[in-house]
Amino acid sequence: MKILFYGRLGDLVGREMEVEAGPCTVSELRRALADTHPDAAPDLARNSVRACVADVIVGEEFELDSAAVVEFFPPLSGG
Amino acid sequence: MAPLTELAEHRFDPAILYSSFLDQLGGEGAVVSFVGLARPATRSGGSVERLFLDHHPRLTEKSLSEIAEAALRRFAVSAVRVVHRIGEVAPGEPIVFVAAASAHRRAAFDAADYMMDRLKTDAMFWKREDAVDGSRWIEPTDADRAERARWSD
Repeated sequence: MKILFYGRLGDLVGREMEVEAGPCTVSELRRALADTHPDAAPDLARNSVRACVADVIVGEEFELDSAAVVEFFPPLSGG
Repeated sequence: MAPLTELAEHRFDPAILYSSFLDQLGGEGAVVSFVGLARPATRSGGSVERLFLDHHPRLTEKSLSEIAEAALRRFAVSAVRVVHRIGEVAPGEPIVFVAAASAHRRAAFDAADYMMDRLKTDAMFWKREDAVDGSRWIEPTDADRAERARWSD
């Protein structure tokens, strides 16, 4: 599973990572990432950090398979 | 004809964008434009070294288009344009250019105002301000949110 991080999250854990994960839900993925990246755990736990798959924001129960590409967006700064 | 919206990886010249916008008009009586510049000082008065604008490869442009198209639908404007920087922006450099044209001035003023208020809260950017005393990721202010709420659809 490929994971992309934007904004502050990208600075904390890197812009892109490959993880062995799935099938799992978004919330399970968040918890797994928080375990392996404790610095990012508070940010990952915020519900203002949204998950996006195929350019669509998805909810916490969305099912991800091991081939998914997931993007995590912190709150927008705006322009 | 130039697209409604554009992301600019490098410094742009607002005068050139403005001139191009005027060139493609057809008889409108009113043109309003706005330029946002990277401020050289942080809110606490420190010196800014750079602004970094993070963006999404597809959704950022889409967020700009949605705002420009909404302005065209909502106001009696015949043309609008939004150009927004991405990447590193030095203090004093233009970050955003917005323009609107209409037969009479009220619609052009309102469309430009609307687009800027929406850009400040809804455009998909993550901005990091790098100052001598540290870096800070920016979130919209209460003032930005209040301005956005003026246009509640």
